[in-house]
Amino acid sequence: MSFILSNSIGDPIASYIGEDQDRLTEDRVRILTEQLGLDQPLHIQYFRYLQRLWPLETPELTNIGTWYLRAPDLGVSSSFRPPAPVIDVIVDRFPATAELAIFSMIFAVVIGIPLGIVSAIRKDQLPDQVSRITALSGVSMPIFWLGLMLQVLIFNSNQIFEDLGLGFKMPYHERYNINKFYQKEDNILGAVVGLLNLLPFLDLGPIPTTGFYLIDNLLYLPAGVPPLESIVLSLELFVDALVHIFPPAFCLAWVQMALITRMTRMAMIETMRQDFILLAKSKGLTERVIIYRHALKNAIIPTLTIAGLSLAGLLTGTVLTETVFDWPGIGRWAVNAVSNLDISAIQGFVMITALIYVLSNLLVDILYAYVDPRIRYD
Amino acid sequence: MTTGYELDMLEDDVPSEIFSFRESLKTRGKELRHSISLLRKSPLFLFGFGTILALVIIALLAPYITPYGPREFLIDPLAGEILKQEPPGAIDTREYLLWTDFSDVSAQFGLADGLLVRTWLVDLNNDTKVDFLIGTSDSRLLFYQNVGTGAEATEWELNTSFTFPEIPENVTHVSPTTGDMNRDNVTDIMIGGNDGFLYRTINRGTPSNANWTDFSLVRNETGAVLEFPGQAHPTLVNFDRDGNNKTDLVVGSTDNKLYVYINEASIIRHEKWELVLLEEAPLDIYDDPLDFEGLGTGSIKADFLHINPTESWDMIVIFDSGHYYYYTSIGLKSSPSFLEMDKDNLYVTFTFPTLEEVPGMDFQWYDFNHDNISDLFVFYSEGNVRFAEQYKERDGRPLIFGTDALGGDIFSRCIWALQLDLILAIWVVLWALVVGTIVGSIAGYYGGWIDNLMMRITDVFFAFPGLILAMAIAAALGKNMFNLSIALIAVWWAGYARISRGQVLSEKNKLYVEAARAVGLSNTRIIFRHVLPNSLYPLLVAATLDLGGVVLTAAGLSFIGFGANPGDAELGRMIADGREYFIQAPWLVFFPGLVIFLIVLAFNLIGDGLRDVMDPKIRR
Repeated sequence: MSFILSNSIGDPIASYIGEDQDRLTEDRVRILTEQLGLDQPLHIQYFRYLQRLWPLETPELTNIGTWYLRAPDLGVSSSFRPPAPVIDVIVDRFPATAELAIFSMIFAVVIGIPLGIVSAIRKDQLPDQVSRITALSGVSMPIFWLGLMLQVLIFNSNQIFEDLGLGFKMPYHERYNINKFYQKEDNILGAVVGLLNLLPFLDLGPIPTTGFYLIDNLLYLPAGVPPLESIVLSLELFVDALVHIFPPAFCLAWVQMALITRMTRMAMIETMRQDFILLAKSKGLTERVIIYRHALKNAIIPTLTIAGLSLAGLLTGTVLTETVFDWPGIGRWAVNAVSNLDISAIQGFVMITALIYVLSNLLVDILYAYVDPRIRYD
Repeated sequence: MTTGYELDMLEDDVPSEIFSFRESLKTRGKELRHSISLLRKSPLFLFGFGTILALVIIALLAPYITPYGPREFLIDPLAGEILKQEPPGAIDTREYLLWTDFSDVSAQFGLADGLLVRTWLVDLNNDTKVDFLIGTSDSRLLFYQNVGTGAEATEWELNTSFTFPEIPENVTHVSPTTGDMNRDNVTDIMIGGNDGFLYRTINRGTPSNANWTDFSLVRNETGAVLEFPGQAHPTLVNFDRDGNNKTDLVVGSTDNKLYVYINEASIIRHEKWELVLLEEAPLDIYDDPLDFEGLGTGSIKADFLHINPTESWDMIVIFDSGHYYYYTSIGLKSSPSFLEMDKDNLYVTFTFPTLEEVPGMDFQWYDFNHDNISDLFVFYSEGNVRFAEQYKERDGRPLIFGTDALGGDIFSRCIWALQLDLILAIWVVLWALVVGTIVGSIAGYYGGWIDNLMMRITDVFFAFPGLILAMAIAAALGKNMFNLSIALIAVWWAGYARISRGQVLSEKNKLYVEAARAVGLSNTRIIFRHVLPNSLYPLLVAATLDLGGVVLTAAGLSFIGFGANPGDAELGRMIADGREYFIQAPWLVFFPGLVIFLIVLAFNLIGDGLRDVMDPKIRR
């Protein structure tokens, strides 16, 4: 699929050469065409494409037995000057997207499931109607609009966060300019590694940052500051990161929350009508126990499906949210790549999304089997 | 060959189940009535339904309820193409230009009937007030001096003390024009005569103390006298077609042509007036010379000025027969290409007053009262002179949603965008439904490897999140609305294919299909005439509910930069355009987003209501 897409997008040579028309000489075009293999027939191009993707490689014919793993070659993203390998860009930027997605998913689940339970128990009463309207408005909300409106509310009118004394220590665009590697003396992990490196037989080298801003800030302990102050500072940075992740995560979470709430409600209503609930009631169990120990476990299955499937919505949402909030994840990069006709980047992005999507569906299936033993025995 | 309808004759002998349509309609009808009675009780459904109804009505009535609609701005008369089109609701200013009624000022001029040949506006005596120079049909030049006070003076009086050199004796009809021909910063006069020759006089003195040379024939660069077939109307122009900063000459005569002469005099010999006829494309639309054949009769008076609110040059062409035409230019200021303008309907903010087309008339556009808007003097040959002022009026129509960065009315734009987005959504869902249903029903009906192949293709489309797939496809096809719709169709059809496959699978083993097969109907006929109509109901419901999702995705893609171009009235695009200023002007973003939200919410409410009604588990 992504091969077909990539082949039909514009003129790849043009995007490589960029706006610098002086470089567009005949020779250069020919060399680039050969380098990119564009002079080959389509099926050979496809075969080469697969070959490049395949992460298994045999270095020499004589040594067929030793397969080893290498990173898949996704080509070079030409929307960067100088062009950067797509796989590097994805590795660089994916944590930001993942952080946003995970945070908002937690947000959605933590709020969505209880809301669903409440509206199922109080069906057609006020909580149900409120949750219904919240959920429906969430599904109908254009994420990018919500994001912009949140920015107006937060940054413009009341300066809520400033009033709370939280302030903004780091503007979004500077977030990921922090070092790719921890300094040994600057964080807990670094300190541990530093200690371990004292052992003569061990050299772990520099410790790469996780890329998750929340975690990185928590682990960051600047050197040359008294321990207590450095901990306070790292906590402060952590809170700052939390404040910054909140608006985009809220945007993303609302839609997911809506879906989860509706699904939980439906499943709960259905489960509460089952015979075993009646049995539990007749046994004289408290409502609390019935709901949380008996009904919820059964109702959670369809909710899980929705949560798994809503990952698609989450990925879609990150594209828009990252664009609105200038979040340095893969979504914004992809939008950027599309406007620059950056084929390899689009290819890589579409592939990574499809991969995540398919994997998440697989994960949901596995979780099913774990949660519902009936499926395991089928 | 038998057809399915002949089965009707056997009605008594066969079980009624084989009559697919009628039976299913009967049961479906019953279901439908029951569903509707339930839906009537759901306030949220009713709200959603009402909102959709209202939005659709608003979208349909868009031309009638929006103050500012899309309007063609400038049309290329040759190709019939629209060169500029205003985006819906775009309007440069809240102020409209309107005209006062014509007032009769004949008394100021006191021109006798048939005396007028041509009027020319010039500040001849250099007193910063504009005067009229009128050529008459009895060999005279009349100088009407502006005697009003202040900058906005509009009072003229014949000044007899201002003398001109003697008009050449064989000239009775004088057509004057002025310009600085020898570039000494003093205005000179050129006249065209009814003998077809041009004469000029140079003012060797000062504006206030004129010292005219005698009229001499105007010659071209080879020294040959310029001669025209009949009455010549010279116009000294400042638009300087060849860009050499010297006044050029345009002459109209009785042969339906405008002759353009460019001034080739060198800087050193600037006293010498060297005219070269510009034979190639004198005044053109691109490279085709303007043709005035059949537009009017008699000689042509041409004038060049700025009458519309844009920077470009405009040309007025008036025939002796009274027919007049407006032209506007595109292209560079120094080398304009003239296109005819529509007198009645061209600009939103600007209209031309309609003039009676009386033979021998002339008129002058000029900002007489210095309010930066052109006013108009009309001279009729019988001596009537009329004056109308143009003035600004604030538009009183309400701008309830505010204006955008370009002064566009957001309310109008929202309504036009609503129309566009609804049409887009219906178009997308319709085609997705057609493609999906055909694929799904063929897969379901035939089964086997066809089913396998088609469903694997569908699976590929399901492996990507919708917006991202649409994004990739739209990027591959190129950024415009049509390609966006193709991308959305490509995303949505797979869902319908699955639903219709399931439906067909459940229908194909029913008795009526077997009956149809037994009669010997072709597979195509069975699928499209018997199976499909019976499985269409859930598909249609699903399609209706998807409209909201399509609107949302389309808006999202437009926001990222696919589909609509910047400045277009499309909801997502409007938000993207407003993003730059949204902190200062949140309404730029708020209202378009609200419209999207309302559309999608309404569809979702309908969907929610329907789901509650259809799902028997919850209905209980």
